[in-house]
Amino acid sequence: MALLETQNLTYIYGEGTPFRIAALQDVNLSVEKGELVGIIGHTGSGKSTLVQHLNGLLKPTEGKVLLNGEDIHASKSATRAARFKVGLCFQYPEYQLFESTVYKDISFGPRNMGLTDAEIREHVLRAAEFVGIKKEWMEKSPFDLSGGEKRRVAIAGVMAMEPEILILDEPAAGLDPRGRARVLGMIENYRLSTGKTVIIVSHSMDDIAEIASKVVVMQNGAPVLTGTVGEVFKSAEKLVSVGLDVPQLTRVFLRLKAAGVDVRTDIYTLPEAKRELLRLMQERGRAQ
Amino acid sequence: MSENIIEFQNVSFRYEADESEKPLPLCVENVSLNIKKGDFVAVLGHNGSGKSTLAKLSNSILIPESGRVLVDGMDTADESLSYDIRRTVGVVFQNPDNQIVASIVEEDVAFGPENLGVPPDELRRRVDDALKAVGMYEYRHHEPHKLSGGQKQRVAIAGMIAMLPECIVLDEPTAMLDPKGRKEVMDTVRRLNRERGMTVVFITHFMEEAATADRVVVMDNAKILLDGTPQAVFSKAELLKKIGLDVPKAAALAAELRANGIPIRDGVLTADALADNILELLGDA
Repeated sequence: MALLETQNLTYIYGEGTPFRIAALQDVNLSVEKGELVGIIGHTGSGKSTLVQHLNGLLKPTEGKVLLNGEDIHASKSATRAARFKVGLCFQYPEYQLFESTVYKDISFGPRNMGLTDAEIREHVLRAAEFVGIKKEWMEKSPFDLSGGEKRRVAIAGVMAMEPEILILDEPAAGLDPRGRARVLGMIENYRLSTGKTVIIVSHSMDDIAEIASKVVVMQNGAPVLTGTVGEVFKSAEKLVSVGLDVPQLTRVFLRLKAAGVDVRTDIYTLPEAKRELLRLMQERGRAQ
Repeated sequence: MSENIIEFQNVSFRYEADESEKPLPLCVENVSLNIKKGDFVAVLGHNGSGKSTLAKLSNSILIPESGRVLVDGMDTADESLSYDIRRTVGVVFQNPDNQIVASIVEEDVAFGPENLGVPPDELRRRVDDALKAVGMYEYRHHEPHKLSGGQKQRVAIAGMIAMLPECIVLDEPTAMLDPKGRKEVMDTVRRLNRERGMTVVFITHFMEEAATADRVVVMDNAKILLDGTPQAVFSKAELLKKIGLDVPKAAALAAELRANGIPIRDGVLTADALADNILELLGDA
């Protein structure tokens, strides 16, 4: 049984009005324990609407969301349980910081779970460590931190609830290359050391190519490609056609292929790219 | 008349600390930089390197602590010149949502020039022209908040163009956009530079965007670390990595291929250029 599953999930915004629009159409998705799933798609493809269903924030117009095999809308208590088991960290989460100290902000979630003070403290410290928050920051105002630091505090606030599934909507958006690498590395490390499931929403294949075990490509409210990173890149032309950025390296191969050269296009890392081009050159009798 | 539209002469700047606190460190330190008319200059640097402060110094939003900034010869420290300075150099910021002031696209674009006292007929012409220049003319009667991020940013750029600046400074205008929006903005800015000769200073942390500029300036730790053609700057891969930046991936691949005896031309920085170079080599075989 999958840890999390959607069955024929459909969601309509503005039902009964002239602005009716189907944001999700018949989505069937399953997530296993311990996976790192990347959901990618361009703006308006339905990816954010999809993840807001996974912890019960939005209720499906049709279809179901199953957590450990149980419909999260079966009862009020099931919905409430889903909110704690599935932690959702929104885009630009640093705008949601509100407490007077970093410690209080991170502890807001665990406190609402009804834990004891000692347990709350443990949760907060564990989460802070995952995102590299220094001890000295704990009593500082979160608003005195830099943008990247605020982002990490906000992510820690969701991690501190120790959800079975952690969902992050565009965790690296707007950060510089160093900040991006740090946040993504942190998330990867969190998954490896806790064994928990992580779902990352992104419009950048570059961000998730190296860490995702499974990729779901969304277009017009439904997945158009699902598979390992390699499998999805085999259809790299399709990624371009749905308006996604493919990594620069993949672009080189797409252009070669478009010019009639027989090359693979499921390439996104430097060593692989080098190998494939050297093979190509050798075949054509160069590079001796 | 100088051939430089903006001159930074030994400019230093720091933000004011709260009372009782120690003074903050300089975030621009002794920077000298000339922006030539008609150039497309990319400014690269990670967060906190001082690149955004440079943008704000360029049209007298901030005034240097020491040194001078001259805009077409006008000293930004002279308050009586600030209208002329801002008419010459326009700045576009990162978040399009913070830059929209009106509820209809064309009214938003008209806001700046109207404040400059442009007469109605001329205003109409300028707004239409600016919206056409960014490819948003069909949306002139739309509500800005319903546009996509890339479209909003293009409206913000149109608002700048309508003031007929000689130079636009864009501070990470693509950081909050998706790939499609990023491309729309990049294409628009390139066209303005090429077709209208508008000087562009493009602040970014995307290496790929900097690769197609005439000149790349790299900021680190409040100072200019590198300044040259994209080819020259991106040949310093080690140094860039040390300060948390990188070279475009296609350039890194080109370097690997060269190291393995494949004669890729120097200065190949983009995926398209690399693919074309490989096709040429295959053709010769």
